[in-house]
Amino acid sequence: MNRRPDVSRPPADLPDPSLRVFAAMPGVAHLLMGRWRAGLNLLGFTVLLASILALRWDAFREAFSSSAIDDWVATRFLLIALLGCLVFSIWDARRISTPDTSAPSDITAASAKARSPYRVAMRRFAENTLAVAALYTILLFCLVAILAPLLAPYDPAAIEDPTNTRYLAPSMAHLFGTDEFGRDWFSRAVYGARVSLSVGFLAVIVAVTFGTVYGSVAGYFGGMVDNALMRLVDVIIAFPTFFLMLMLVSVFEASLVVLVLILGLTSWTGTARFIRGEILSLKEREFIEAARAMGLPHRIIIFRHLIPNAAAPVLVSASLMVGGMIGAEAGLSFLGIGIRPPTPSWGNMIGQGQGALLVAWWVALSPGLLLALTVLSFNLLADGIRDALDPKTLMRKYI
Amino acid sequence: MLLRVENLAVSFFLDEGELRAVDGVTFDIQEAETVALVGESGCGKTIVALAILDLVASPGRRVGGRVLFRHEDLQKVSSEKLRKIRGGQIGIVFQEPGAALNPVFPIGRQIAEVLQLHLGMLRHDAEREAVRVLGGVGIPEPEKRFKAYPFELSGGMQQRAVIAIATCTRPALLIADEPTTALDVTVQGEILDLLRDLQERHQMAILLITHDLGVVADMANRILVMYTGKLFEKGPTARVYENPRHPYTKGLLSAIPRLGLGKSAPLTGIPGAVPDLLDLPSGCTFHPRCSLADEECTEFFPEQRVMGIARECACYKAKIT
Repeated sequence: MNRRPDVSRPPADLPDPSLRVFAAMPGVAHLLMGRWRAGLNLLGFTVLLASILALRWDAFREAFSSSAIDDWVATRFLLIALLGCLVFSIWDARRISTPDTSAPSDITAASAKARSPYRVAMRRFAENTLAVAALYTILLFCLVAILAPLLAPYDPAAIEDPTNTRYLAPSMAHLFGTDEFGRDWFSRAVYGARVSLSVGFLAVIVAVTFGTVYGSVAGYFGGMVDNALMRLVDVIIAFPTFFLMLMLVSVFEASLVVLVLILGLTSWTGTARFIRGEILSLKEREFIEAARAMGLPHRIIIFRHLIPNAAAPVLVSASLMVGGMIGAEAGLSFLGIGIRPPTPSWGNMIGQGQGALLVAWWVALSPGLLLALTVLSFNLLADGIRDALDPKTLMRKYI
Repeated sequence: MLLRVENLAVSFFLDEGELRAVDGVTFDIQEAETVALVGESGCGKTIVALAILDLVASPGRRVGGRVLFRHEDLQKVSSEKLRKIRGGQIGIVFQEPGAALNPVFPIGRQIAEVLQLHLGMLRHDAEREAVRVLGGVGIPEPEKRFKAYPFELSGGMQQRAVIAIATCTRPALLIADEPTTALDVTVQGEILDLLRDLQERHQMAILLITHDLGVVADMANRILVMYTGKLFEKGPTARVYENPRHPYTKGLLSAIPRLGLGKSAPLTGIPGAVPDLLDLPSGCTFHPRCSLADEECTEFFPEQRVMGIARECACYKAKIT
């Protein structure tokens, strides 16, 4: 069951010595050994990072010595990622080119490994082109968000010469044009990605963590506990979520943290409900009875035995929720009660563009497209993960 | 005395009414001996095992009797202490090894987890000990198998892993609930050998629950015969096999095919079927299927009577012969 093509050509045995130097470039060794996917990924990522470094060298130098935390993170991330690509590709190329001796000797163990549910899911996901494209889009946006200080050509908040730069149409100098104050719209969109993505991810982490713990406690203990906890969920669900958010946002002063908490704490009920259902069926399984018979405390049974077994559906619902959260944040910011200018967020950028739609269409269009693309990508990714993890879809093909 | 079960009664409270799954079961287990609990499917054997550890799940509940482990009433000890006894002093092996292992953790971790919890070992020591335990239950290449997930193992290997989890803390009592039923015959023998071997090494008592009388003859010092939640007969295995007192035990034994019996001696089964536990016959619950039954049997359930050395039997018609 050796599925690796062409392991007989380690990089050390490359015919031409000049090629050996070339093989130090991340991904090249993989390509030479016929590992196309890994090679292209490594090579592409390295080239992307290196070209950012080269094209924005001045910005990099300035940010490197800056004391601002986001400059520090962006520059160090860029360097570590580049170094990481190099080290990983050398290590991985070595690993592939030396025959695996640590694997279990018998064939059944090896083929069992290849059939492990995790591997099967990975392979199924990789074959879903749309989901993979969505994953790349999301990763690209994440990279943009982290490297924002290096990528933005202008200060996103600077109002330099409003009379001359007001409402400039998209051009090479201003890729997405400028707004009524003459701010570079591309720079603001780049910084806006930070807000949208971080609110999306953090709110989902809050919601899923809270919902999972809440639902599994209700499901595991059952009876009165379950009844009390789930009736509270019913009460919360009875509030129209968006209006609840509106109310909360107007009570508390909206900042990123407050927004994350409000979004997270109003949307955990769905997760709690279906985790409870999962736990209700899981706890009747014999291995939970066995865990109780071995005297394991409730805490360990819930967190180490029940929740990991319910992880797959949680992952699917979490990835579906991210898109919704980003949309909700944009909605609140659009209405002017989420992230407030001058901090850019795609939501408040669309809001700003709404008034100028007939004068300067690009102001609303670019953040709108970015938002739509992001939400769409998260939904496609969630679909891909669900199909990959669902044992009912096409499992047979891979066993 | 290691374990004493006194007048144990367990009921399930269903919409249709109270279902008495275990009724007045009394027996005891000495240190390092093997006691077999036998009976047809659905007669309450597993419920006895769960009730010993106070694990009967709702809608079931223990409604009477006591379970004494080393003279301590398990219903009166604190829940913390009960947790320590479960897994620490009393291990349990379930029928379906594939279902009794957590599918998302390597088997080695599952053993180490129990060691960390009950023996207070540090993670590193627990993992090393887990490898040793895996080797001790006859799993080849324990260092590699430590990282194996349950689905990567065969049924026999899975059952060995389950036994390893149940015995890694050196419990004084192992409850083995149909440990070989889900396995094929050749593997059955190996698992029984393993249990005997562990018993010898750790001086561990075994409560063996099974419906396979062949297994019992091999393993058990004493036998308890159960029917409709009640004990019908108790005694040393050899003597019960030689000379069963209760008509039900006689029926069970005559239903075992044996080599060398020839065609002339047809197998005899017990007529009829196990009654519905919600609608038990009056008096002795076996009387509708019993050839010796008369008026007397339909009125009250017979008391356990001492019939011979260390033997008891609940039947009006049984005679000391």
